[in-house]
Amino acid sequence: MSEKQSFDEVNQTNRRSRKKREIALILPVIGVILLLTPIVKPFISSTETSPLISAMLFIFGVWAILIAAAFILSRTLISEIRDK
Amino acid sequence: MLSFNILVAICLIYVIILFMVAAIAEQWAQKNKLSFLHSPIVYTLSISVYCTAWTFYGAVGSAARNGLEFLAIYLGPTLVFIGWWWFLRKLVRIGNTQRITSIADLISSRYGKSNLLAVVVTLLAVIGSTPYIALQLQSLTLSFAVFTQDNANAASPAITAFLIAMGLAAFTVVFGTRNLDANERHHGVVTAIALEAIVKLIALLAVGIFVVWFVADGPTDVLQNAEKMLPETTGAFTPRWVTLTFLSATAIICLPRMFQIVVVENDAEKHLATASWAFPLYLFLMCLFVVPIAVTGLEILPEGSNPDLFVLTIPLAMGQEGLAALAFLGGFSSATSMVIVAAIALSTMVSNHIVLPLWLRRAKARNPESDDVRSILLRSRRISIVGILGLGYLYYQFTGGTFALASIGLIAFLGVAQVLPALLFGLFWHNASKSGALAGILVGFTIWAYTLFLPSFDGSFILSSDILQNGLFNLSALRPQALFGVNIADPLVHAVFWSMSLNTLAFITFSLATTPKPLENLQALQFINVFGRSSQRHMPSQISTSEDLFVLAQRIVGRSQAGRLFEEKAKEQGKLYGLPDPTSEFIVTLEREFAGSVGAATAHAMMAQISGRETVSVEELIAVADETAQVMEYSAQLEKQSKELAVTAKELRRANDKLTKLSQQKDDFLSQVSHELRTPMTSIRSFSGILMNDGEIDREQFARFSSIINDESQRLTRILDDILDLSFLESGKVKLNLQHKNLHEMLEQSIIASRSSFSAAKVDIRLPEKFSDITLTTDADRLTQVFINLISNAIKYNDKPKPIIKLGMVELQNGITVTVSDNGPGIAESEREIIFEKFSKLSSGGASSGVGLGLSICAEIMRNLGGSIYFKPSRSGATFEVFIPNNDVR
Repeated sequence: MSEKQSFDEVNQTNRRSRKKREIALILPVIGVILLLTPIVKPFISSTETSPLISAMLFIFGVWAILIAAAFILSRTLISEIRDK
Repeated sequence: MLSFNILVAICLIYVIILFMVAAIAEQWAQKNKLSFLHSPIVYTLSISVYCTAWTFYGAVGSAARNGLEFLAIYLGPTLVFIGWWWFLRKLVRIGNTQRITSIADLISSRYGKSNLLAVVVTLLAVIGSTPYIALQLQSLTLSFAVFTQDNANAASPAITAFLIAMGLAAFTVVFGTRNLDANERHHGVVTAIALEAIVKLIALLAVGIFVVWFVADGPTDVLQNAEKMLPETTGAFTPRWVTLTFLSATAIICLPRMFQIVVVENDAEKHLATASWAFPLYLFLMCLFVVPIAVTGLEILPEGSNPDLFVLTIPLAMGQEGLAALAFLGGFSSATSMVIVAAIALSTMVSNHIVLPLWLRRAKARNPESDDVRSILLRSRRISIVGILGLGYLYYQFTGGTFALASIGLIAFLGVAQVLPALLFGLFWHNASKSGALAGILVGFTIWAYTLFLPSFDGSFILSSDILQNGLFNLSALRPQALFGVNIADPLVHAVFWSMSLNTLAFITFSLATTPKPLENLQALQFINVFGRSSQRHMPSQISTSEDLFVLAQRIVGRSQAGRLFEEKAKEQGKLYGLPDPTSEFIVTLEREFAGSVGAATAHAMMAQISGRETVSVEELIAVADETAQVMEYSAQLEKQSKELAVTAKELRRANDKLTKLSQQKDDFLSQVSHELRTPMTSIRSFSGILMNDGEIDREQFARFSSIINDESQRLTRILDDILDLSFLESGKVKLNLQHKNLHEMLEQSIIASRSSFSAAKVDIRLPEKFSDITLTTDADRLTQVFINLISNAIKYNDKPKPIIKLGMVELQNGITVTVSDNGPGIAESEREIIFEKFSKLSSGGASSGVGLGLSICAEIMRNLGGSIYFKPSRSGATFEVFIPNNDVR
């Protein structure tokens, strides 16, 4: 710890990085809930287009969002990996 | 139409390019120009070996037949990769720290380096992968056949498949077994596979773009067609959908080739961070145009066309031969990359866990020094690669290419998924044991074979169609596709449900029922706490040296004993100075020595590790030994301190008791003193009161009262003098006034002084002459005081008409004893105990004017002089003995 850095700041940094790790843990859970459970069925069947098309658009949409979230997370988590 | 020969030429040129890329990459790796090879992009692209020909051709077929179902195969890996921080990171860390070479190695290493387990997993992997390799051969043959439909000169499918298998075997042997890298990493192959990954992505995207914007009228048109052409049901969010996602998520970890790429070939954990989004993105792009291609194929191609080949047949139908060739290369890349990596992974497992142990067993009979393990390993790997491809080819020939592509892939997925419970629990559960892993895998594997693998032959292999219909032994509970009467419509869901649940159940039951061996426990800790302290200091495993052994021995048996032990050994080995050589005999001796300190099991584990057979580094062991020593020292200190505390507490309690008693004595003393002082004070006060107030008092009375007051005042003074004298003596600050004096003189003086105090002329005091021979060096005044006291008491309390007091002397070894005896009433037995106590006036002494301090003072004086005084019971009268020690006697 540099002398200028106060203990509060260190605490805050720790809390922030812990939060990042926790988000990393929860991301696949969100993915599982959205992609594997029939949670979206009513939403899909109530639209005007066919269930196949809306399901396809939904899945690709969630997929893209998950990839984007993983991208952002990996940028922040990469600093926490200590490689030899 | 592309001619078959041109196609073969394209393939050959492509393969030559791959050879060159692989060769250059190998050279770079050897020259340590690794910056490019170490980039996370190469790593991510190589993971795309997941996308085999099954993806490239089969996904379109699946979409045409079953709607969106194919997406589940890519969503599973996506979920695993976006959750990389939770699971893949741990797996990769373990792979790096434990030098894991394959999935079989990982399982065996976790469960106490069990070779049996490694063999089982290897066999499972080979059985699970063979259909998969056959599938790649089949799809390659099919894609060749597309171009040779009208060509009479073309080779038959069987020959094409054989040639392909040969070519792949050659490539894999050249680049997969070129050298024996300690980490089992193959930079050349990985780079070539990354290139193939780019080719297949570009090919599929090109076909997709062509289909959407050149065949159809953009995305809207495709979507409108999709509603008409694709099945009504979406295929998403159903039990089968969940099952497929689960299987594909498992496959990305458990498939031997995926494990090889993701864990074994991983250079840095950081690459996982990139792969966590880049690999899902790759899958996303691979899937993006699958539905449009399927829809367009169904629309424009004649009915009955194989949807598995739409990727090729659409460009061909539209006359785009260049695009078709690119698509063909994409499929070629998908199939070859899968086969190459799978062959490398499986051959590593087969050679490490089956061939090498067998060879070592045989080698024991020969001289092991003369054989080169390296060449044995390389040879066995090459043979394994050829064997595995041969098996794939045989399987392809046997099934005759009858299956729809996707079903074989899923069967293989479930086969290797049987490793999952052992792997998953092994990474997070301490009690997971070897027998549990073995039971789980065997149970799961049996159920997989019975409910899915064997039925897939439709009654032509082992299980007859009768058994399929009516169950084994005609028991309906044993029907392979409705086990225990549970009717699940989809055979895949049925097989996944039963195999995974019974596998897990067997695993947990056996793990709880057995006790893991020490080595298993050690490995469990290494695996589960891979992010703990010890893993931070990852050291390359090294052959132990005598220095390491010596440092460790010092930690365990202590400096001097270790020194002695090593010196003796060095002498035995004929070395005049320095440390002995770490021979196996020496290591056994050491192990026995260590066993005395740390227990046999631990000692064995330690020595097994330090002699290079295990992976824990010497430094880590030393750290463990240090910690243990510290803890032991600390607990010894604690024990010592607690003993000291107990002693101190005992002493304190004793002191406290003494203080309480002393305080009690002091209170008694004070109350005695005040009582004694009170009596004369009362009489002085009352008589002085009479003198003050009564004017009528006559002269005679006045004189009497004044004399009483005087007497009482004197008594008061005497009491106070005695008390002061006693407390002075008790305090121990008495300064003795030593002088030479004749004992006879002292006694005479005492008798005179005693007589003067009483009107006791008639008392007969007998002082023998022999006292005049004795001269003492002592405090004569004090000693005289003692004699005066004793003689006075004898006179004072004597009630006989003719009192006689006899003085006597006994000479002893260590001093003399002077006796003072009288013919008085003596001392009652009950009172003898207390005569030396303060204020102990005896009931018999009615005439006394003392306060009972005299004998206490005598006792204190004698104590100060180093002697003693005691009462000696006798038949008549009282006898006191005064012992004067020798150093006072001259």
